[in-house]
Amino acid sequence: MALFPKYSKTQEGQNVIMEQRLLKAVNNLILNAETCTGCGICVDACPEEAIALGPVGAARRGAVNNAAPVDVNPEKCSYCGVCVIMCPFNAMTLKIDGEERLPILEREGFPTYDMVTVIDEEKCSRCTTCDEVCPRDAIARDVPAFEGGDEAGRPRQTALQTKTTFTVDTEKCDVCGICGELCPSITVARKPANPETGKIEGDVLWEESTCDACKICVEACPQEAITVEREVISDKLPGKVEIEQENCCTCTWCVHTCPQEAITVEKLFEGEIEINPEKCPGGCSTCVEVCPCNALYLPAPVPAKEMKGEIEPNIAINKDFCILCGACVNACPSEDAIILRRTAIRMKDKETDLFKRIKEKLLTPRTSKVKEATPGEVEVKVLETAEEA
Amino acid sequence: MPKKIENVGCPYCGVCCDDLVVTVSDDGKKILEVENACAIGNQIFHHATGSERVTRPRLRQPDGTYKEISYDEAIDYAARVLYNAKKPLIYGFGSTNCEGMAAAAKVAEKAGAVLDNCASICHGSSFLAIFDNGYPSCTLGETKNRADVVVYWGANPAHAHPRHMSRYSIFPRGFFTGKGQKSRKIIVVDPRHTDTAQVADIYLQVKQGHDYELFNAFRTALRGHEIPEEVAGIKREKILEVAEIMKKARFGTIFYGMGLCHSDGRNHNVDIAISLTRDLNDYTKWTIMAMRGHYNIAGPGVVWSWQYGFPYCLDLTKDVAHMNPGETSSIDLAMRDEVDAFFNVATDAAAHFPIEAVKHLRKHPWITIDPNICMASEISDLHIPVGIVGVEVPGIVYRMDNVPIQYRKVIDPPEGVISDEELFERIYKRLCELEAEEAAKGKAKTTPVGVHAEE
Repeated sequence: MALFPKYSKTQEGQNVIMEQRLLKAVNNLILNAETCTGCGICVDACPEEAIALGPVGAARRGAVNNAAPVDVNPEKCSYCGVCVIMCPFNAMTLKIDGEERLPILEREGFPTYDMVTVIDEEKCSRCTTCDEVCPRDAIARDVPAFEGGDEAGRPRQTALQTKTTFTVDTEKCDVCGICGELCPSITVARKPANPETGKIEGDVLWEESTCDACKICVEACPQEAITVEREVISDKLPGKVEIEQENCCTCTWCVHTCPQEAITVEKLFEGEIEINPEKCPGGCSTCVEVCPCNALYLPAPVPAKEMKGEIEPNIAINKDFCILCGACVNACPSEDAIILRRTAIRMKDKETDLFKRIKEKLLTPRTSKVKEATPGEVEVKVLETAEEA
Repeated sequence: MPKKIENVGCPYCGVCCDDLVVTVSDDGKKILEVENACAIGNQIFHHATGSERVTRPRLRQPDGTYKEISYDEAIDYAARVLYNAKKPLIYGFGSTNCEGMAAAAKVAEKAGAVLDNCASICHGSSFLAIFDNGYPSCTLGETKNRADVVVYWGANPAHAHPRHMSRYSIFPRGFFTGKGQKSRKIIVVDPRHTDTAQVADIYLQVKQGHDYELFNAFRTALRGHEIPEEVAGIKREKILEVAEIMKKARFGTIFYGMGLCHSDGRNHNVDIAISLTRDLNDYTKWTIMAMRGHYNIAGPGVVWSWQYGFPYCLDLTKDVAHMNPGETSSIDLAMRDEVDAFFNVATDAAAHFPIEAVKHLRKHPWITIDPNICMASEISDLHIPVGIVGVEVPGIVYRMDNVPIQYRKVIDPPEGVISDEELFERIYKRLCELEAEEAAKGKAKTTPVGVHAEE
């Protein structure tokens, strides 16, 4: 038996590491089982048919130990890195001799996704919506924390660029000290009581950087001696909001919810997803739980008097957010409940022959199947007739 | 060819599953397989054709051993015990059919006995609360088809009613609940983190014995008043959250069990649970249901209500039936030594009564009427075996929601073994004969002398 090449598959935390060891050279394909969504695009993309779908629903839900949504055979794998390029969720990494590399791209042997993920900095108001709605944690909102969201954050007045003026009518001011007692920006500097004059004298000092022009001093001054005026120079929050492209799956949740319409994202796939709720057995919701884009949902029941002779469907999708990845089809235990038809893939660079073959596979319409041939592997039902249409 | 019998009813718990499929050997004598039943139900069927059945009445001998006697002898013995007793107690009936219960009631009336069923140690406190406050309930099918919020309060169906959750309350996909479990919120209230709590969306770990306070807090919160920071071990925010879920339900059902009926407050716990249900009906639709125990423990309540107007604790010692749990309930009668003969019918009082009560009852003749060897049969003076309802004897049983179900017979009882109904009819006949014999001697038991003289 030959000692080399030596193949192995090991688990290290959330990573499954496939290894091909030669005398000196080592190739590793690393699957991040946490990031992997079970979409199966790698399965179609693999030129060696070395990747199979595993228990997608159970793995995503954490119901089984030591199972990733997909399974790579380390012996069949040629460590070409096509899966790494084609994975829309950045769950695969190729390491050659311990170094992250993709020789196929270095030699321009394969195209890559033409990702468009832009936030117009001018339009962006630094609000928190996109960060909140992003299902993939792909928004980098680099905006300083303020006291509203974080007690230790910056004072709120520092969010605005302002010019504030504070004036005290010294004629009226009797140096009573109330304004200084109320506000940390104001200090009343009284001179020591002097029996010679028998009067109280002093100055009212004011610090602009901490003043938020709340005007409590104006209202509290018994002598109506204070005037505060604020001019806003800029109401734009400091900082920057960006999309981390390697984490973005182009679902467009941020695009649809951005109040400023500041975001442009182009989806990776074009095509159509069809949901047949009458085929859904109900009570499962695996598709909802595995959907990486938060596009599938269980329609909420309506109050009895508003039902109007209809019962809500068992399952529905918001197509605005679907990226046609196919995880739902792979995880669905029913038959024909979800039908996926991709028609185009957004790529840049030259489409090689290998890519064309893979594209053909990815564009094959598919749906789920109840009785599969191989135990332990997911098999989808290929709808050949629909492809022509 | 083994024969498959479908739509068989299970004679164990109050869920009364009627979807069992039983395979019987081709000679019709052996049960080979039971499909759809839970482990408990399965065991009942296999036990029926097991080797340890008693097939003849057994009478205790002076040396303490049992001797087999004929049914005629046993019936004569039982009738004489009843005839001679001043206040016999006939108790049990959780596990027989309604026909048997009606026949037993006839005997009790003739004998001037106290007639009681297992409700008095189980959901009897529920009856007391229902008398006070009503019973806004539903059938299990309504829960299955409509309920989007289900509460198990002081009940553990995972262990006590194993198929309750899968047939009616949590998992089934009903007409308006097509998404099954996903269309329902499950709330479990129990001091222990039971296997039922494991399935729940919300688990409230109430302090044992403090359910009344928690109900009070829910009712107070529902009416929009302030509640303390913590009630019965549950934080205010949690109570408000659950109260809001209950208020927003389209259709809710509270299932409750021994956690309420057996803990401090007894009927008052149930009473306030019913009040909460009624309160909730100001906002939406809520129902409440007792998790009745045995498959036909609702039966005696129904049958005896038809016959006498009272569901349990019936004192038939006079011409008019009287009911007063606390006075006429089995345990109270036993503890006060007020009965002088005990009939254990389709139950096991020896195992499941407090030992002090058993000691009192054991001072007097004790007759057990039951298909099986059990604690009661082992301390009896006379053990009369009968056919097993649902396996060897058909009949009507009442599910926990008082829906009557016709149970089938899948095999014949062991040769010569009779049903409860036949046994009680024969005891009744024998009692009448004894009365007639005595009357012929001129000293009938209860005939007043000279009442009609003036007419």
